[in-house]
Amino acid sequence: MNHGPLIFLGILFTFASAWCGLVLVPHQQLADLAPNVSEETGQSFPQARPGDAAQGARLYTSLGCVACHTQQVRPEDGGGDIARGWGSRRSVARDYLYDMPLQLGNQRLAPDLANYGERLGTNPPPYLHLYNPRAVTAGSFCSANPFLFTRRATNNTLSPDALRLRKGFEIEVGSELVPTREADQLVAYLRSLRFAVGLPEAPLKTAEETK
Amino acid sequence: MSPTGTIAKTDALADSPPAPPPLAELDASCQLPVLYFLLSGLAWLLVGSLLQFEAVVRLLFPDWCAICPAMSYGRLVPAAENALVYGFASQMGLGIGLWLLARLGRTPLVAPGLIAAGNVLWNLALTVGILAILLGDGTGHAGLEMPAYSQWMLLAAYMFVGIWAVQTWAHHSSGPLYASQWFLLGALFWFPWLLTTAQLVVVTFPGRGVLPAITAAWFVGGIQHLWLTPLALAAIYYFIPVITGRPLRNYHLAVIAFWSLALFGAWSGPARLIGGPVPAWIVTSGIVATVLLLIPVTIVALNTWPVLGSRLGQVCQNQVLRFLAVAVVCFVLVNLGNAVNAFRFRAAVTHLTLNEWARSFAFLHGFVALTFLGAAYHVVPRLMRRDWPSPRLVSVHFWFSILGLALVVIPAAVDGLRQGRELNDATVPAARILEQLRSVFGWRVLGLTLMGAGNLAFVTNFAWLLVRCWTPGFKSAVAFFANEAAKSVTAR
Ligand code: HEC
Repeated sequence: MNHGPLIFLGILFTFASAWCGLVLVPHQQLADLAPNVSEETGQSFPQARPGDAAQGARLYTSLGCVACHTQQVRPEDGGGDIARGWGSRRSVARDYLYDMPLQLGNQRLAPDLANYGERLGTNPPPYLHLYNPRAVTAGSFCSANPFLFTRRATNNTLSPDALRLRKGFEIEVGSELVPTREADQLVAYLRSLRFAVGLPEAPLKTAEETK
Repeated sequence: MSPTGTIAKTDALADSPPAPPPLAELDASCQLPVLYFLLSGLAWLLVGSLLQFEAVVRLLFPDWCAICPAMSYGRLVPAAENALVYGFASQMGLGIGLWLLARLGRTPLVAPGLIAAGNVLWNLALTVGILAILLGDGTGHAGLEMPAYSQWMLLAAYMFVGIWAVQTWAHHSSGPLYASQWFLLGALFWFPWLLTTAQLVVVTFPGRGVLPAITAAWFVGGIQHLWLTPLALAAIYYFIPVITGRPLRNYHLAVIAFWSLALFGAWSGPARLIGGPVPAWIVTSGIVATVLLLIPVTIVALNTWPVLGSRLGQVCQNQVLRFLAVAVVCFVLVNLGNAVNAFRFRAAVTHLTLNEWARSFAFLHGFVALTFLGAAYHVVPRLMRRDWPSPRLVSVHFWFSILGLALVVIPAAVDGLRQGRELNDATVPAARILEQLRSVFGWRVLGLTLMGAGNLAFVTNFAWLLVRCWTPGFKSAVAFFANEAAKSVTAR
């Protein structure tokens, strides 16, 4: 081990092996991955996010929600994600074709959000939670985003989109809090988080299998 | 450590080959850049610790300062991480590494002025990057949050340093190469290769879907095992034998440690994607590599532990060895933990939990940080030709760091197991599981406070040393100008 050039070559080759294996080959393997078109419904999945949701994704990234929230459902033998109702199937590479940047996350200090839109269903959108999670869930340490809302004067009746703040969180009478455009975008993004669609590589369970 | 006595003694041991250039000359060539790197590394340590502290405060008091998005947890965490990895660990590691290159190669540092310029650019790139993250311009790629413009600047800054560092390496005196020199050479090449690839493939021209995440995971593994680890091992392989005065045991195995680290370190990254939406073979190769990393880890233990064990009394007393001994223990434990938890049945419980977080914290703050801080206790007095003003502050630094580290890591590692187990049990409500993590955050506040106090002790000692070194020069300058002024007045 006294020859500089030989050591250099070794340094180069060990690195190059991993570079080919973990950078080059995946790029070749996954480059042609395309949305899946369902034979039954003719619908393609996944779909690119519409403008509002795409803007919301930027906000989600910029605020670093990923520091606490993951967006990945692990397979059934690799954790309790599915049992917990965070998804109806494991997440696979195809689900993320239009996610840029990916917000997979590496810490679960909070519920997984990969299928948050699915879970939300027809419930009212989580504006209040975004404003202050404590106003919804006592004791939550989810970060508050009061800067996504504006205060405006009101004459006694709250406008339809104003936050309905419960006791302990009220603001002074004669004013109300309404979501900004950014808050709408973030909600649009959160609603778009769903992949309860079967794929060839990750089929949804049929009703009998679930039993 | 008694002042000049110990310096002379340990230097004499480093001096066995014939007729080297005087050490004073080597140190003089290093003084400017190494001092720059150590000082700016320290400054980033303080900044990063502060951001980290603020982040955990936000977990405990989420409504405090909530109106300011720059202070949100999601921005503080990546800002702190980048400040600590690129600001603190990388710069301290480079500083120590440059000094080792000159010492071990018995050759003065090439182009110290340009290296110092690289340091200035590096700090500029990092300041821009951290501010960008706090202001919301982070990239959102795990481990590569600084925006492209600041990362390219960082790469340019590295070139100033790396090119001349490799030149210095190549000027090494004839004679056998020491293990530290292999590790340094590897790190000096791997870092720019890693950063360039990640920049191109993840940040600047990202591929579709999960591709950037795969490359980012590979990159994060590389930064750990091909950059910070070899820099730290270079220091460990030099200081332990030089200070104890005993050769490393089983030294012939070190060559295997180096090559296995090079290979498995490069492949280990994707293990952190376990359970994720990527092709299974990619994760599997990461798992295999992470487990095989136990080969270099075992060899490092075989090389160093017998030496440390045979000099236990000295290890407990010596300013530098104490730090290094704890660092080596952390290195072994963290990698052992990573290997065990790489297996799928373990990862099902521990992946994505605080247990995993605790291991990466112990890697950075236990292994890497303690190695470089300990090494700085040896290097700085030689650069400045003066010993530490207060040995007591060194002890304060050591004990506070160790205690703080334990308070941060142990509760997180233990409670992370509960977190993982309960999250896998659908009958326990998620909100309740997560709320119980608060006690861990409480311990973390305490631990980070202690670690911060310890680091402040180091900074105080360092500042005191610099003041002492620079006071005579300052005084004589003042006296000179006073004299001149007096002369000109009397001349009138
Ligand atoms: C400090 C960690 C943390 C950060 C950062 C964070 N959250 Fe949370 N989040 C939580 C916790 C803990 C919960 C569970 C308790 C609750 O419902 O409030 C939660 C819950 C949620 C929920 C409800 C999930 C459900 O299943 O009902 C949504 C929606 C949410 N967060 C959105 C966000 C968004 C958007 C961001 C980024 C602006 C964000 N969170 C940032 C910790 C965090």
